[in-house]
Amino acid sequence: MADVTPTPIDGDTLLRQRTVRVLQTGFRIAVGFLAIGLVLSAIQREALPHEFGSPDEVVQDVFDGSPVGFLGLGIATIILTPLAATIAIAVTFVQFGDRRYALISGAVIVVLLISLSLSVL
Amino acid sequence: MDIWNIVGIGVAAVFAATFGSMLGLGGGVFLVPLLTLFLGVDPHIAVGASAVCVVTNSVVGSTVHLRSGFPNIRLSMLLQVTTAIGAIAGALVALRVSANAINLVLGLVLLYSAASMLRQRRLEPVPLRPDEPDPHGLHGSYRDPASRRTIEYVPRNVGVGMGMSGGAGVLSGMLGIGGGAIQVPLMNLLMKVPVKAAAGTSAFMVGMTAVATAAVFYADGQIDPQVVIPAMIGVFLGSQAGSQVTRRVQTHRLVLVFVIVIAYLGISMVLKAFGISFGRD
Repeated sequence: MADVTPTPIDGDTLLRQRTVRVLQTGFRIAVGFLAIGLVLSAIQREALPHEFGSPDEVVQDVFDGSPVGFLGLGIATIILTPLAATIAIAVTFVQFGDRRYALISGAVIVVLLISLSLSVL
Repeated sequence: MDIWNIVGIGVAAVFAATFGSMLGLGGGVFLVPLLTLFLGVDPHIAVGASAVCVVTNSVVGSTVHLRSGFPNIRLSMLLQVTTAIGAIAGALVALRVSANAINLVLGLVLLYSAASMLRQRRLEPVPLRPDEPDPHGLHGSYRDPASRRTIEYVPRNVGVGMGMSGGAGVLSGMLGIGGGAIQVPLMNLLMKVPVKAAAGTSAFMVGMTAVATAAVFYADGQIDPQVVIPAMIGVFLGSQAGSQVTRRVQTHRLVLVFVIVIAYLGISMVLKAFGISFGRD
């Protein structure tokens, strides 16, 4: 019987795989929202608008089934994907017991959140 | 907006993303002038679309680069701490410093980097000694399909690199750029990171740096779906192509393309400092 024991994956490979998975997932979700928005826009024969509403309006538009809501959600998802990848990296370092890089990744997340709040406020 | 404009935006984005992803840049430095000069897009809308495209390019390009093993994630986290802090500081002090002085300094830095990289483009990666110290745990390795060799390296001058990366972040924050044009030469020349690893690491970092900029434009209503949607489709195609080219192209050729691009940017910045612009603003 063939040996089916999987080859052990080293930490760096796992780190890369997880980061790829988060980036891909974020991208796919964003593309999904954008596709829904474009299809709805075609069905409702509605031209694409020239701007999105505020984050609150985008959420309301999604519940109303408006194309612009889904398009806005798609763009917001892609913007937040690098932040999600950084969180996944920090979690992986914690799991590996790599305290130094867990702290460094945590610091990156904090600085990103500060810059996001400064820029949006 | 007619169909040809939409197609034009998509094609411009393919071009910008291909070169951006190949060289570890966001691609905004190509996209903004193309949109404003050739497609008549309002500069504010072009910059907003560019910010979203830089993030998209980073997300898509990094996926391909990470599979090739080029980016050094630990190094990207370490440099991102000071880059991000620098970017906040840069954005906060941007109004207090003369824009011409910043453009002149950045232009000269880019021209110096271009000259240094051109001089060293045929140098082999610094060979790794068996007893090479790695106090920061930053050892990296990747298989280079172009040379069919496994390249191993340990970044050097890490403290100075972090400090200068903070400076690059300040310039990024002041000028609203992703910073790849500064980070790649910094990693390659000062930290002795092989150019493909530097480009892959930088491609991952520019996405994080551009998040805040993209969010500002989003919250400010400066993201036009009629521009950004075709641009994102173009970025998706171009980014994949650029990352694949990086895998296959010989390093010295990649460096040559990079040198041409940053020399162009450097000259543009210096001219802009003296009031001569190509119309980006």
